[in-house]
Amino acid sequence: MGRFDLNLNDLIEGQVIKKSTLTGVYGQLNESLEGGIGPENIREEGLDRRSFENMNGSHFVYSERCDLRSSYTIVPTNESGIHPSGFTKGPIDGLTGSHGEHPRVDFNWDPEIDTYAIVRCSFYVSQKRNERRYEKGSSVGGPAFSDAKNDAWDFGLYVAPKSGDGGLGLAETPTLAKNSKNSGGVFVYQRMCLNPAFSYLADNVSSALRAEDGAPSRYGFDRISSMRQSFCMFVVFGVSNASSAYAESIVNLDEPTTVSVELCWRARNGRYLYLVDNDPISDGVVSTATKMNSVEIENLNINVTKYRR
Amino acid sequence: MAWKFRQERVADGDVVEPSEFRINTNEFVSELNGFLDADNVKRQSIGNGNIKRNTFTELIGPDQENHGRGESMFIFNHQRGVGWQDTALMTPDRNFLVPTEMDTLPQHADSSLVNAAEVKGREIEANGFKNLPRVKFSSDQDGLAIVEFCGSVSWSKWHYNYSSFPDQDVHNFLDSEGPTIGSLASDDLLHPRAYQAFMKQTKNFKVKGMYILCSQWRLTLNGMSVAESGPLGNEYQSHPIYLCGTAPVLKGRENVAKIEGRFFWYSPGDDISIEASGWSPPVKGIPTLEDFTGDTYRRDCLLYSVNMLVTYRKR
Repeated sequence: MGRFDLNLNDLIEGQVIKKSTLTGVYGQLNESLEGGIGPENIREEGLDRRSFENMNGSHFVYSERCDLRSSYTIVPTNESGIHPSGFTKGPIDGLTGSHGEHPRVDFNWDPEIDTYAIVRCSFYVSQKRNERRYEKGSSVGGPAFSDAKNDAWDFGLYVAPKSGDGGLGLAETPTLAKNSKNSGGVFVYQRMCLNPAFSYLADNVSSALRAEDGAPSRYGFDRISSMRQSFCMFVVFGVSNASSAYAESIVNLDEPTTVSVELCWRARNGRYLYLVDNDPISDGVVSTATKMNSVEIENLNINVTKYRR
Repeated sequence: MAWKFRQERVADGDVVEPSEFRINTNEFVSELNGFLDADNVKRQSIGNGNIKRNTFTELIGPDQENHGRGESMFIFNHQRGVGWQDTALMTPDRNFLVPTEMDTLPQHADSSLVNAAEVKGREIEANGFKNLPRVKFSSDQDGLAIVEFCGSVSWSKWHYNYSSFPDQDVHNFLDSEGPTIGSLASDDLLHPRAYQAFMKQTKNFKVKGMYILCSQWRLTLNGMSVAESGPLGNEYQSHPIYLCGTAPVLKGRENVAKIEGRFFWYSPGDDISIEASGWSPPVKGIPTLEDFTGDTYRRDCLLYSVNMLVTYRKR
């Protein structure tokens, strides 16, 4: 309501006092209080959660769901079927197979009461050299040890299509979100891969050149594709009329819906390490997966925090 | 809740005067203008319907002008100044010098791709330097700002210096690991510049005196650093980055939160750093390929798939 100013224009000296003039004061108050209390009305730190209506055990700020899982494993797969079934091609299904649920969070969205939601995802990825290269029980042969180099991994947050009717127009396929903030898709992704000096070039000796050149990589340690990184990313949702300042980075949700946000991945082996592709997550194809190591995802945490007012 | 007292007293027999009613009512109503607290309201009586959006928490992201969404990629080519940078060359779609095709071709093999690369590069250069993601917001209340940023950092295969097109250093853009060139294996060509580090060969302790090209990132709010990474070398060709910091904001201010980067050569052995814009150590000793004259260990840094957010907590 902002600043409340009492309107008593009808109360004039020398005029007859009407009943409605007095009762109107309370009418004005009631009107202003209904959806009108704002920061100008409240003393700093003057309210605590005892004042607020209990809504399904939660108040204005809450985390709807928090998943903490000890680990996942991704074994790269590709079209050639070298790996046994159970690992489906594609960035989303790659996390299913025999490893259980997707790392994902679903939450209900009611624009009447919800204003913003932040989905955060953090985890630790460990790729160890030449470990778990093949599905258990598989007798299929693998590549030479030295092939397991130059691996690159992308992890991203995919806003899944809305289930049921009343569509929000979110993407049906996990493509990189661009241009339209309402199109859904993969909104952020992060990549890890080693510098080739510590991977596939480390054992490729051409000493005559290097000695003169002074290339530091001749002192480098050959890590194959052994690497570890911490990932942390977020995607933000909000009703479109809440603020004008955030237009480009917040996914608008103006209709009641259920939102799913999933962790997706993409992996490559080869020259990919240099590339920043136009659409890096969309194809989901592990181009030379037979040469890749699996990765362990540990301490994965994906959660949603809603802000209502 | 403040103590409120009746300001005007009236008694039987007084003449009714409007200001007495007005003054007393205003005394009560003034509580609504910034003094409401838990003592004024019944328990669990305030619901969503009573409160305006953004009363307690506001989430603010970069606007379109400041490229907050993930489709932009920023290119730091060490051409601009020293120290922390909040601008960079920018390509809106990450279609970066048609990299897929170029990556599989031998150097200088396809002049059309060289031309395409040049056209693309000149487009980027013509666009000039753009702001890195930043969030501007007005604070109408004292409060707390939580600034978050996530993205990916890669070291480019190329060094972007468009002024060198097309007369020289084309190999800077076509640093391919394709088939052989002359008698040299492609890996030999690539190898010297795979790791952006420089060891002076006249030194006795070359590793100790080695300089590694590093990036460093920080978040600032109104010019004050609220989160800062350390020097990040290029041992990882690509790696994630996430920063989060908080700071109080004052009522009635215009605020700006930014992501900034700096790039420098760092010697872990000597604990000395040199700004990357000021030093481009040369690659020497490849006599069979004239193109390499003037080549450098320095490579561009790329920032992409970014997201930025300010959570403004108040009241």
